[in-house]
Amino acid sequence: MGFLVKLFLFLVWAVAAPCALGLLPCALLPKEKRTVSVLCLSGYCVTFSLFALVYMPMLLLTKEGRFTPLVVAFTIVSLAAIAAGGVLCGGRGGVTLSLRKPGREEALLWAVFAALLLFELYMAYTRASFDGDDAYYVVESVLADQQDSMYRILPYTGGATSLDARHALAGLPMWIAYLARMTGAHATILTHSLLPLLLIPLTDLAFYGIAKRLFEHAAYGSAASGGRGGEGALRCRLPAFMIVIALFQIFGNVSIYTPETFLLMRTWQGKSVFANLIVPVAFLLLLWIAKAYREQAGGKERLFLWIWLLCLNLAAGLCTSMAVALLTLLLGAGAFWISAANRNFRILRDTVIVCIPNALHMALLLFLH
Amino acid sequence: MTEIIKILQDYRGEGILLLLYLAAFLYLLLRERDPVRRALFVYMPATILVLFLLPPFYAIYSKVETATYYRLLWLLPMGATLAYAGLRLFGRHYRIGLILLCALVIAGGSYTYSNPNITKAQNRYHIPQSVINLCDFLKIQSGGKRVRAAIPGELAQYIRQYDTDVEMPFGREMLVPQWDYYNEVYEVMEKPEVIDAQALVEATRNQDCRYIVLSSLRAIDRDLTELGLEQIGLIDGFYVYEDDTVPEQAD
Repeated sequence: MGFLVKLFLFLVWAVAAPCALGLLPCALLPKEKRTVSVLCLSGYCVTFSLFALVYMPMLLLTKEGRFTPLVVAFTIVSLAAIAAGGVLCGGRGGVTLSLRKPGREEALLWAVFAALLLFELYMAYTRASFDGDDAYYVVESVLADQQDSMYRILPYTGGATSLDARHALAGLPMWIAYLARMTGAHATILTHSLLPLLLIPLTDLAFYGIAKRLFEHAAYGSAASGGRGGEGALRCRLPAFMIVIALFQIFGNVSIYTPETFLLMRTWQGKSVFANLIVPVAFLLLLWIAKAYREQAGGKERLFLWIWLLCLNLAAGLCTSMAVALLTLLLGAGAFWISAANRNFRILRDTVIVCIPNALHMALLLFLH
Repeated sequence: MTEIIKILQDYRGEGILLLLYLAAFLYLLLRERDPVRRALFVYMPATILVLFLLPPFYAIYSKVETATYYRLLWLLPMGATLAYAGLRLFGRHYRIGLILLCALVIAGGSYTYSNPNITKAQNRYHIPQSVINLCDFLKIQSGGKRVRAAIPGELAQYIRQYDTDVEMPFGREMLVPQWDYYNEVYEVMEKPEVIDAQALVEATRNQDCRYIVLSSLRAIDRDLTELGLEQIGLIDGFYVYEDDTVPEQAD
């Protein structure tokens, strides 16, 4: 298969299908809030959570841990969920494309941000970053695709091994292997060359969602948004925020530990996806939940937010073993303080409920360890 | 407590981004009036930071893992806080604020792409081309069968990212000193300055390696061909030897 065909299949299975999976929860939103960015971000969370739900039993309950049945099962589940979401959303007016003509200054700022993002993507594609952990994670993806085995072969040398639960429960490399199988691309090319082109913009999309809520004119009043200078100036703050975020990423390599270092040097590893996608989306959701409860948004919108948060928790488990504990801490602290701010402790109660999968994941991890 | 401070210092690294974040945090603590934003930009991070600094919390975390404690700091929304506080601070003069913020981040940060671990990619796999050439060569030599080869440390961690049909007596686990593993092939192939050829062949035969790959720059006391091996190729500066006393791998 030629590279262009594989690229097309990558766009289908790594971009279009996950975004389309967002249709299912988004059907709960009023049409004007069913935007492309919400669809994409929620779609990836649904994708990862569905993948976790299909993957875990297949990993733990089958003796050989074969990979092909997982590919078949996840494809069927995904297509069914996309079809259901399509029917539900289609019957409720589809997705909103909130396009408007930006002012000159706003357009210029967006162009600067786009240039920075394109620079990051160019560097991600043309530069190789060495990381020893790839000898584990990337090889696990290659093994699943080439040898049809999940976590039953030693990645470093090739010998047989028993299930390494700590690493195996964080199954993001298996999702990458799934993409490799569906696209026909080598899992290492997919990991190192193609996934950064997807994951870096996704991180930015999460920050875009945060900025949109921070600089929303109507949300908390213009003064609270630092919003002096009129509507135009307020709109310019959104691309300005994104420019600072992009530069923070590019110049964030102050140590090997920062999320920005992980984003640009280990983009494809679960820990990076946790730090740079799951955590920003959690922050975005906390902002949105606080606003929804403060403005007494409809019950369906609130249900959508809790379903998304539930999916986010399941997705975190797929990233790295400690992610579920860290995300629980973040959501617990965030929900406590926004509950106090809103004087509504139902937010904290519901957050605890959607964090139950995290507790189960931690218990499973301790049991298998 | 000393350990926690050390983790924080290591995380901060060489730039001033953490200090900029703390300045933005303090500004929002003093000036942010919106209760939800105070909750998420001030109280929530403060809670996480206090927990991070608490020795009993570190002790509990360390019962599971110690090396990843710094990841608690990932929960602080550093970039978003800095960008929001900076733009808020300058209000209608946000253009000046933006320029100043960008200048501070550039001057106070560290340019990721100047990191020595980032190099120009030689192919779309982003692994050394010599690894691909070597694996392809072994595949042809073995007639497409699975092979077991002793491969130098500098290539070992890449080999199976390309082809998992190449098995090895040692891999990355031997290259991280603190993991403290033992492997007899590694001991004789990687550790001595001058390789003892006889010891190497004994070790590779013990571990069923039909192929041995050696850098042409590596010093060895005897030519491996004198011990019955055949030199079957020179790939990008690496000699490949075949030992036909070792049976081929079963598929």
